[in-house]
Amino acid sequence: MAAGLLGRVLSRVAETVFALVVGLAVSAILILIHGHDVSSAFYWLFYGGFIYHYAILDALAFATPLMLTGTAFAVAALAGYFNIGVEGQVYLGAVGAIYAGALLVSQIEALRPIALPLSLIFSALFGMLWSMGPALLKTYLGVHEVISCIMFNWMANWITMYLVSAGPLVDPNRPEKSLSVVPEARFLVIYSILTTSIYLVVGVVVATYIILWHTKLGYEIRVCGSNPDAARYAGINIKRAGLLAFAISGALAGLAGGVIVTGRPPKWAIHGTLGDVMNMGFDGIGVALIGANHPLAIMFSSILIGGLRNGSRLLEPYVKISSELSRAILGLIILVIALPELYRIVKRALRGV
Amino acid sequence: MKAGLKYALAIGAYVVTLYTLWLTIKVDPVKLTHSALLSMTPLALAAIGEVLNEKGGLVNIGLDGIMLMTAAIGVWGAEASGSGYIGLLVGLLVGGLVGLIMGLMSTYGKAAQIVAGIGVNIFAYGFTPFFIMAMWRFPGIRIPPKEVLAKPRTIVFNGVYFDISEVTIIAIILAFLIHYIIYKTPVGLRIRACGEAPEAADVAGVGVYRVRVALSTLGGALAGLGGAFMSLVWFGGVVKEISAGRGFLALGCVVASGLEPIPALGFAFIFGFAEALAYSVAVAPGVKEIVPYHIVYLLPYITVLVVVSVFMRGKRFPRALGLPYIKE
Repeated sequence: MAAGLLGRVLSRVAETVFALVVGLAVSAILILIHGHDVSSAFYWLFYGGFIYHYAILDALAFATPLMLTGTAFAVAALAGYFNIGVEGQVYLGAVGAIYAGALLVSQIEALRPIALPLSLIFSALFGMLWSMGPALLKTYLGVHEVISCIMFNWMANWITMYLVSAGPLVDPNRPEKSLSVVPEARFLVIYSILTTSIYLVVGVVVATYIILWHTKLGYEIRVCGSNPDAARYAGINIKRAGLLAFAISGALAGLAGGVIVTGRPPKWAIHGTLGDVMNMGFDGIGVALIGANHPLAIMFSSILIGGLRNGSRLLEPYVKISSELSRAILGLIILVIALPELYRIVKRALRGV
Repeated sequence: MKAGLKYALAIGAYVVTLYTLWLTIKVDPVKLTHSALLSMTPLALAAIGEVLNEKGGLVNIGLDGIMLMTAAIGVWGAEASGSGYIGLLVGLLVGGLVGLIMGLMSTYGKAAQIVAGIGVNIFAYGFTPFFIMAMWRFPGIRIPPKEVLAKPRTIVFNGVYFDISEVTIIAIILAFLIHYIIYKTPVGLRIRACGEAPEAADVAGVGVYRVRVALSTLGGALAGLGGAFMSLVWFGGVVKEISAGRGFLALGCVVASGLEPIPALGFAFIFGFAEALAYSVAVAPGVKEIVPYHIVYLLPYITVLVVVSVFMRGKRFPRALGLPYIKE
């Protein structure tokens, strides 16, 4: 049993490494076509992303919200829903944290000592409420969640942009960003941009794993996803399990937005352009797919992608390549993962040699 | 006759809407129709292509990524060749190439189609800013010189100036042409067989994989033309988030239409109209002082949600849709 598990984990790791190699090979071609130096690009991406000047700590900081968005996607995916709306739920989560941690606590002084938990609860709540739109449309009207989620993402985009750049949450002294949360609503800084928020996040991800694999609710959610007919036959309330999975997913995504606000120095806020939260949900889908929708594996795939994001920041100053290259690599990795045949063919070819 | 009545009713409702808008907030009906057609065209092209693709049994949710990439590569094609029309062609070809790759993956490679689509989208969200920076050494935006755009032609009719692009006319013709092909020709019968009963099609000698790859290529090409249309005909430039979820709006048209090309065109017009209306209402005097433009921009997305919720009920989709067909 244990050996079987180890074997599965190892073959998954091998598959991910293979996908990474293919992704890097294709991106190397892209870099070459545009006349840049491939070796220095990869040097900064990996050495700069994981090793250089305690970079691993920055990589962990980038990985922190991804662990949550990845797990958020995984919970819904295990229930059989493609919650591509994690993106918008992150935005609303950030709004919840800014509302509670900056506005509410400065209006009601008595709340100040509990500002941090309050902000996080609001972020999870906002994310959860936003996820209920697509969830209810799916459950009661049969609207496919991929389409409704994207509509909710774009609505979240415009609503959040209004709130933090022109509405009640804009910083009156620095209108390019939102209000910063009060010092009581901030995680402690460990090093540079890494904060103690990572402990909370790891705890939440592990707790989600326990709920999914060691409770009745988690079992029901997974059965609904893997075999809805069996679930119906076993008397599981599919609608309830699906809505709960969506709610947990939305809450985790919202919490990711909250952690970005309360756990990311030096701003403790988000920009009016939403640059801090943008694509967090899509990257989360990426890490979830790499981690095979398993929360514990997602922690590691988040660190991989977080490191690439971190290293990609050095591409612009040192190699004059857009930092978005790391996202293109993530897309390529997912394409290879979508195509297990390719890995099988290559494995067979290698055995033949 | 019944169809004719439906079209007449739709046109009547449209005229009433335009007249009401003119009376209430003074929106110019000709300009609004013009922008609605511009906004409709990329949606319609992508949606019609995807209707065809899904009739054959594949699902491509990477349309948004294709449109984003081809919007940028189309601008490059136009600048390199000096002609906006070559740029549109480049968009078409690149979109077709991505569709071809996805088709090969989903058939011979037995790929998970939704995951592959997400992969294409995430790749595009990264590749496009990378490409813009690599090509033009400037982050996130490129405005090409006016001479290489393919701006719409102006038609003067009874003193009224009306702008329309050739591509818009092509999109409208395509909707009717593809309807004809799907339902009135042997080729259409084969396409539908691949989506409904791939085993039966296979036994009858139809190359299911080949048909599906061809349809995926065609669908990608049309989405690519739509992408290049956005940058070269409509906006006159490219920004890294130019697609703004339009690939998914197109998927909304596809499901609301129940995989019918002509209704898909109609829904593309409704969504395009909602978007054009949002743009003109957001700056209308009397409105812009009260309602922030961010909130007006919600209109097209809410329209899609309402339309899809209302029209998707009771629609039937090909039985083998999205499932990989594995040959014995």
